[in-house]
Amino acid sequence: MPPKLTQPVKRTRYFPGKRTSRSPSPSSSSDSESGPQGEDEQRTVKTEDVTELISEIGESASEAENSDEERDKQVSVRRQALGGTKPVVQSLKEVNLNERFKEETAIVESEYEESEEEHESVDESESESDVESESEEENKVLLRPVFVPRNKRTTKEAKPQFAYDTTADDEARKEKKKEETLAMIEQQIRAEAAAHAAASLHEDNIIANAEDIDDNDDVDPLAERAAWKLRELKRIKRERDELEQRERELQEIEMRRNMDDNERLKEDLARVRQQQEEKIKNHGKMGFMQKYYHKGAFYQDMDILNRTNYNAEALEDDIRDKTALPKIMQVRGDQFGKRGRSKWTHLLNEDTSQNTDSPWFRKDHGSKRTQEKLGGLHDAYPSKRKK
Amino acid sequence: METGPERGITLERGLVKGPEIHSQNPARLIEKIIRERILDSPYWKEQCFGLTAATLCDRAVELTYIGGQFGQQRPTPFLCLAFKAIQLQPEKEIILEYLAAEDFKYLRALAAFYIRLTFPAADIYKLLEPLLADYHRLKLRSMNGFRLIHIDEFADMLLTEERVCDIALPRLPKRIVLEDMEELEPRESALGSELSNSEGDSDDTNEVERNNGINSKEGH
Repeated sequence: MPPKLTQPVKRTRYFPGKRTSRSPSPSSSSDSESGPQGEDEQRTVKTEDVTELISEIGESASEAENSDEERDKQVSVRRQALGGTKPVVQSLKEVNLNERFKEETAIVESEYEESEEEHESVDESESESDVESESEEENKVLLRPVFVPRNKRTTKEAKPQFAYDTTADDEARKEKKKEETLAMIEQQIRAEAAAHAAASLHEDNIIANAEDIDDNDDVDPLAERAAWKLRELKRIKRERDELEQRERELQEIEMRRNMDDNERLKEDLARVRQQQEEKIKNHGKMGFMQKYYHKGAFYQDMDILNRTNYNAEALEDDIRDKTALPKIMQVRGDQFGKRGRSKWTHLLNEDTSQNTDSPWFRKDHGSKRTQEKLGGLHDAYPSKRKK
Repeated sequence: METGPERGITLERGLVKGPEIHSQNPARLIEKIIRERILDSPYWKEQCFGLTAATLCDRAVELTYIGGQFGQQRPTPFLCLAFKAIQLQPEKEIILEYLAAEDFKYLRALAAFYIRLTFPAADIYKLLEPLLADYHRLKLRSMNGFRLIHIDEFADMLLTEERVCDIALPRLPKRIVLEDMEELEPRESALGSELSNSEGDSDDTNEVERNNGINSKEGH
């Protein structure tokens, strides 16, 4: 244990304009009857005392073990060296650390206030205050805190005993308290777990919940049966329709196999024409130079799958009927008036096949053979190529 | 191919050791995303640990709705139990017993779902078509909330649709195909006796005759 060299040094604070030095304390060995620590005046550590202390402590330490009693002895030795006569235990009893702290802070504050108020030091008042504070300090017992082992402490004895406290034994009381807290914690945890379980179950709706949907079957069995009948009939109808369609397909396959080429062709053309009509009916006819505008599928729902007519979509400020415009303005987009505009307008306009009397497209004897050899499907002269 | 369950416990959880169904590990009947959600769900972790066929039955009896996912893509307890059944792979007789439980419609629904996922095609038709005559009510929970359906509607969905309860069902050949292959008889509706007497739909008059035609065996 390192020797404790310093005597309790009263820390004085520096306040500007205030005398901080105090009258030097009498030597440590001088009498001080107020207590083992003596005055709180600033003590100067004297080297002789220090060496004395060290030697004493060293001796005592080397002789005996470091038991508590020995420590006490050392403490008392030190105390005596400092001028105290009272035993440790007694002197500690007198110490109330809270009080001491309050006193100290009060002193400090008072000093500070005084320094503020009376900045230009008035010697008289200062000396007065000094004297006052000094006297207060004299009355105060300032002990250097020393470690006292647990079984030597007396503060517990100082605790007031309550009348209703029947348990005499500290240990029993501790145990009881421990049990109580454990029981409380357990109860709390159980409550939490139950609440959590209930909440999760309720969320999963394992336990019956008040929903609008009632899956109770006993309400109006007749209506239930009627509804079921309806559903069953619809199912049967659906199955029947599927069967019929399948039959129809098979039939058509049969018929087609038996047909001639000519008949097949006629049927195909009829079919094509029908498809186009249907398309126009569903999609609507595109206007003259109407812009095909699709909003894109990203920001839309699945509802767009149900729509068949995309030709109806148009921008708000589009001119719907461009035929009303002069010919020069019948152009796409922002092409009107631009220098890069080409002379050619659109396919139908530049198409020379239908409107002119070109020999390529006339239906006469001369072009018959040409037409026959052409690719594609045309009704004028069907191709005689062997398939 | 790596061995299924040993491959990586973090990559493929919940795989089953046992015979394959539809030529894949039974757990793969349910897609990976939904499988992961099931395995992470609180219901699975709390209730579905260490279940047997018997205790599965107990849990199924406590169900109050069927469904796939709801809310923030949370799997329903119905789905968790279905996955547990797939993991357990109870015997055929047990499943048939569950299907025949008249008192517990959600247990029946669970058995029907399991049958649709795992049994061969002819058996599916044979076992699920009697359910088309059962019109008990069921609650169906989906992302849009609760909905009321009936057992026969649910069975119809299982037989005709491709995705029920957010699970992609295995491929089921059409009934006609199986009839052609002589594995099935044409369907006799529970309404069979009443159909010939009823007005039917208001369209053509051939219908009644056609109904009778359907009920008798048709070949092609």
